[in-house]
Amino acid sequence: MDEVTSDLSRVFLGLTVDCSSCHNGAGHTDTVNLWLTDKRRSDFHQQSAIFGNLRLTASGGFQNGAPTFDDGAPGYNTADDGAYYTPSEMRFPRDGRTYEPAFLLTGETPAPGENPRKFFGRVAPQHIQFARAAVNIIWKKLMAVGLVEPYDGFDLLRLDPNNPPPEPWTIQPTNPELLEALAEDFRTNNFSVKRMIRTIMKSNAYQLDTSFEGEWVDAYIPYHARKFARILTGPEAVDIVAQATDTSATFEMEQYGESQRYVKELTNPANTRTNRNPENREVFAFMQAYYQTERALPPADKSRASPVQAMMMMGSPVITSRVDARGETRVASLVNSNKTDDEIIEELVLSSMSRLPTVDELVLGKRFIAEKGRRDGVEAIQWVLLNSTEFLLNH
Amino acid sequence: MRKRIGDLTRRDLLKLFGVGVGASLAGQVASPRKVRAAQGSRVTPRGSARNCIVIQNGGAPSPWETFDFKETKWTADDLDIQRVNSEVVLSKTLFPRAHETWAPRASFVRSMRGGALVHFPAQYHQQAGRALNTAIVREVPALGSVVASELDSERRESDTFPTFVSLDLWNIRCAPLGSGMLHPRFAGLDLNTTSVFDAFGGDGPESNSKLAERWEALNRWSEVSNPGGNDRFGPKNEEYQASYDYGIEVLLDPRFKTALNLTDEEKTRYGVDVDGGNTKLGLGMLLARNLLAADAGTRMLWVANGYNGRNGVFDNHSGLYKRGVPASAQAQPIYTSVPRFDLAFSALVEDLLAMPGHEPGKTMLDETLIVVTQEFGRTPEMNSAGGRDHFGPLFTNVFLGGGVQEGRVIGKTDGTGENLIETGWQHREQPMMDHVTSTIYSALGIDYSKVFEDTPSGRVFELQQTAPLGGPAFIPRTEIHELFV
Repeated sequence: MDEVTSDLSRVFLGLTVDCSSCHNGAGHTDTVNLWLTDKRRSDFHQQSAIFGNLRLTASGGFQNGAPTFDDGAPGYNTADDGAYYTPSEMRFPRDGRTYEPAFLLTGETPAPGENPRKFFGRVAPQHIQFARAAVNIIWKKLMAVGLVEPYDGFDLLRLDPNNPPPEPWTIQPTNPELLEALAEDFRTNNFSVKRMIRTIMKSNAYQLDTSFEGEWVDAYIPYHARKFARILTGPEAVDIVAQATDTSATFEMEQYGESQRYVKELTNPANTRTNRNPENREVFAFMQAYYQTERALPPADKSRASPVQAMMMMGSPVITSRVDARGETRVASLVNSNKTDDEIIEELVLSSMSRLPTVDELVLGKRFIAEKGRRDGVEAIQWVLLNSTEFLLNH
Repeated sequence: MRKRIGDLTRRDLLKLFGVGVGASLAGQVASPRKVRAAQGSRVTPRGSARNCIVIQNGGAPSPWETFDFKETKWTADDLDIQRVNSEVVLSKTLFPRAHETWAPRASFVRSMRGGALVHFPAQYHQQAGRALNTAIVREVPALGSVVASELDSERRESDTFPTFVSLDLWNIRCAPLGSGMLHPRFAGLDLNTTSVFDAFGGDGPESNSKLAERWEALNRWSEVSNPGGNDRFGPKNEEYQASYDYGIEVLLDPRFKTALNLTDEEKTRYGVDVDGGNTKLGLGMLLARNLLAADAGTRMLWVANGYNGRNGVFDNHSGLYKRGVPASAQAQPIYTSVPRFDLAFSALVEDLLAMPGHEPGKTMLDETLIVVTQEFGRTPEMNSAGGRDHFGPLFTNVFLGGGVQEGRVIGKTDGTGENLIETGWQHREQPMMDHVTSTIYSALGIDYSKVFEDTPSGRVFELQQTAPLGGPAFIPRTEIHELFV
């Protein structure tokens, strides 16, 4: 249950509370997080007690199917770590007491007879921090840099410019007023993710180009003075390649007996790993380069380019088979069509970049076809497009 | 009060750590620059090995049938126990080749203690070299990444392969950790033996020339497409370019293709064909050998024995001695899992013995520390399902090569494996993975008493952790010195 508290706090409240899973904040987190410094280990235990009745009843785990829960467990007792968990080196020994549920942010407790999980579902979204954490994640997804970084490192005593923290602490969000306004908007509009995405996407900040006139200075980052490109996620990388090359069915993926064409359609992208179709292991290996692993892995910074990604993009069958004129690919249909070189290059650039080629690109593309022959030339252009910065950085 | 990392602007951070902004836009990554030796305990690393291979057995094999054999009422009578030396016996049934290959050259640490008793944190402890601390997990690099970072200054002009390469780490419960607070280039290359041959093996020189041609086309396209350079894509561009420059160097290096070129004969010797399709361990060890032979910069290798994934092949909670378990099962009886290990490991040790080292007169085995690590032990008593459950207090790790003496047995357990009789080294406390970590550092010439001070969290990072998690006893800062003397 301590792990559930840790994950829920991180994802839904933007808070990393693991420190207090071992010890009180005072004397430990003073230089890390002001809010956490006031928290006690018992606060953490009470939050964990909200899920003290939770029981996983169906085996199979999160990876391979839908887990089933009920509320049949007797409650949260810190003496009960289960046979395999005692002793654990993950946390300092606990005090062996029973704790009653209370919401970490407000101290509220369930109404008499209220299911503690339902209680949490009722009170957590009412708290503005739930909305702040959510809009910050959406902002980060779209803008590459969150208003609060890291997304799960909120310090609740450093958010209000009208109530600033003591020196030398500073206000944490890069734009506290904007964060608050977005959060309020999210909460008052029934937590509509679609509306939030639309709001951010229509903003001047989102609409900016990745290019920047004048000399770029890193101190401009918090001001979003340009659009920041980011590294793709594993499923994004596989799916956009499939889309660009018109090969979404090349690595057919199954889920609950139905075939899916895109990784994004799977409940868990890691399902490709155990899929019966051996070709899907290639997809899994490919996504692995983009940090797509099982969910048990502690979160890492997934927006980092790595040489393995480059190697996969250049050499993996996920790419090479999809630029092959001998397969069922866009390249094949173009090579075998009556289209002119200009038309072929236009279609390739349009389907990969969502824009038409420049004059210079057309000239160079035609030169490739002249130098290498129609088949190799068209294959090379498709490969080049997939490996170009423009294609691979989300921008 | 000094300024805290959390209060610094991104620009300050960059000044402080000197990393390109490409390393991360999120401010999470910053390579520590302030490094000091731990107070009063600066050590002189041994430097007895040039390379290291860690073989991580997924699922924790039973010590009592394998590296610390115990004859009890549960022991099967067909194990054919044969002596290796005065203190070591091994089952000939389970280890058909060990007596002639690796076992006489190995040393055994039988007083190992495991901290975590479930697979994920235990595997994390192995890979990170320290216990899982969820509060700072994101900044903690893999042990292999620390090695890559520490040995970075020794890389030669001709080195193209990453210093740290792992084989099939993706296939065990705790997947690759990455480089944490260290620069992403130290993250390590995890090769997936299911796909690496198709992806990068190619069909000889022809595929390389095709790739070279396409690479050239990519550069020409890039010039035309972005006449002013790729700066218009912002801070991530530099990182992206660097990763491609690095990646293409490896792919076009003929030594990489050579390393991926395996013959049927050697595959058979490594047991790759023993159980149709589930042969990652043999492939992993073969690739480890080849990557060392390539002498192209890889010095830290990590072979994960994950078999069918999940908890691993040795997770024998039931049917330890059972016959006829399908090859697709997660855990295998020891009659299957241990000989598979022995076949591959014997071939690896034989090959490293036959390969010349860097220094004249030395073999590759002389220069390569090999460590076989387990997550924890298994219960001395068998359970009602004919299996053994997780057991933290005692298990055995195996060491050889890289300056390790032959035939040392460190630590002693009682007749059933229930109790420790002696730790066998200079300390009262039992050795843990943390000491395996410092032993690896020391052998590779890395001062394990070093401390990184400028971590993103502000909490100092000891190369060998001494602060305990989950208990009151501090972990002695030491290598397992007794292996080398």
